[in-house]
Amino acid sequence: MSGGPVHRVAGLLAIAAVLFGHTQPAFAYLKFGLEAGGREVTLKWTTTPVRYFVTDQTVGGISAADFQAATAQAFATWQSVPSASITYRFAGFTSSTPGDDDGRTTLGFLNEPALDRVLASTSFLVDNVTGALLEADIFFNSAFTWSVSKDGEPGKWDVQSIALHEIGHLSGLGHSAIGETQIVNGSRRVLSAGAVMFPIALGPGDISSRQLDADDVAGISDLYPDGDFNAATGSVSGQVTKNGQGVFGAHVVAFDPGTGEQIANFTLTRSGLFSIAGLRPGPHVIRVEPLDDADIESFFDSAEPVDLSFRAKFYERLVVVPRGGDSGSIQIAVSP
Amino acid sequence: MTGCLRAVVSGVRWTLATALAVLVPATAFAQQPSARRVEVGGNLRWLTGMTFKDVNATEGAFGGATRTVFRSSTTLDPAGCAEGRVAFGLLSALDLEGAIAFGRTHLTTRLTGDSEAPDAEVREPVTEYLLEGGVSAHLARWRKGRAVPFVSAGVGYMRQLHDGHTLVEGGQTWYAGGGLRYQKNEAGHGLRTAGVRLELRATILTGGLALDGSTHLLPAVIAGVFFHP
Repeated sequence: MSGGPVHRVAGLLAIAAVLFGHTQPAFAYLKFGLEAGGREVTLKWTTTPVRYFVTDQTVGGISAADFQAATAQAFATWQSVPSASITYRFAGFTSSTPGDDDGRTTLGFLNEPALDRVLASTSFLVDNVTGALLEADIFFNSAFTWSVSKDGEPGKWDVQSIALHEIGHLSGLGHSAIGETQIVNGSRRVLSAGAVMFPIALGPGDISSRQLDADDVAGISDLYPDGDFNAATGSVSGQVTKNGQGVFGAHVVAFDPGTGEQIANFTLTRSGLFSIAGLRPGPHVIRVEPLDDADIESFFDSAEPVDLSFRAKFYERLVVVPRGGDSGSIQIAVSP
Repeated sequence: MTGCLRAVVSGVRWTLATALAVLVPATAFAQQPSARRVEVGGNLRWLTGMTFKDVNATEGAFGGATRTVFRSSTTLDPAGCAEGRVAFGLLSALDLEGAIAFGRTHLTTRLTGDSEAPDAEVREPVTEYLLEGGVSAHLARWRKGRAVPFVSAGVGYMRQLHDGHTLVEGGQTWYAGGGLRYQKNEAGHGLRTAGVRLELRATILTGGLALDGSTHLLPAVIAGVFFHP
């Protein structure tokens, strides 16, 4: 890979293939939504633990057992979020490969050299009538070189880090835009990421993405709330406008000046409405920006009218998040 | 029968106390307050504010490095509070005191160093209620005329209302301070004595009262008047 930029596939696109092109992001968090049986459904597991299998084959010098151990670490990281209830269970090795419609959630390698910017991808099998999630497969592209070493290996992609991102998709989370990229010689290069669900990996040899960030924790807890999560946290909602019109696709970040945590979402309606849940009660700084470097495809369908032509700004007040409630709608006017 | 006896004894004690109060010279009263007296007062309390640790918005970079998106610096601004105070004489040089204070201030966050957004200062209103109880000791040994130094210590409970009633935080406080009392002989208008009081006080806040959840020292200046009704 020699330091070249590599995209993880956008989960929304993977869903689109299953659902014949119809996707609709659910309001409040960039989690996956779909229309089934004439109603909008949030894509999530209704039965836990989520049972998963691992393809029984050695690829690129990595045995099935070593691969399973690395991915188990990633599953354990998501499962250890105290405010989320989702659990996972390794069900065994299988001869199936990711992508087989066999009702088995399967992780494994596939050799896809044509996907030269895709490290790994998650795809779903969904009941079109009930919206039930039947299966979610993760393939790791063996066209790249991989490592399961505890300390990582230079020049090799870390299975555990990439698995952590893909298991976020498998659980129902979309991409987070908390991060920064830049275009170098026509290619996108990631400078930094503030969430495991950021769509671009930092680079081969890096193992710093084995830990979840606040945005990831809030997302998984919002999908699978445990205990008093909803009562102990709050939300910020509002509307972003430009010249009096709603702004679609604006990235809105809630920053906690007490902890430094950043949790974000987008304006997901044409009237510019947004909602950010899972916030610690207390004052928050709200920052609005256009999508970074026009990287639309990782977050939205290309047909969506994402507005990129406005300037980043801080909302002019500290917004207080109540315990178990919403801040009340705030109005943020941005300038072209 | 027993109840009647107690009532009689109690009456005698009050009679003696009243007689003593009338008989002792006024200057002596000022310098050596008697037990059982009641003192009420009104104060202005100036809370000097708190500065919290700077917190940056950061993102992870390759190899575990971090990149700062912007910097934030937050303060609880100084606040003037109105305060009511009442004290009861426990001993000749020791008072049991209680106070309730109310004030309004702002939490202010300054945002700098963002390469995309201009620097900004954002605020939210905070209303504070403080209920305190403790003791105050008169240091008659170091008196200067009618001015008597004192020290105080106690515990309290602070309640903060953020942005109206959007969020209510509460927590325990501790305080210690010291100052000077200056007492007039005759207050007039049916009051036996009156005086002024100045105190420097350090209040310790914990838990949810501080933005960062850590313990903070909040210095205060308290000035006011008191009366002995």
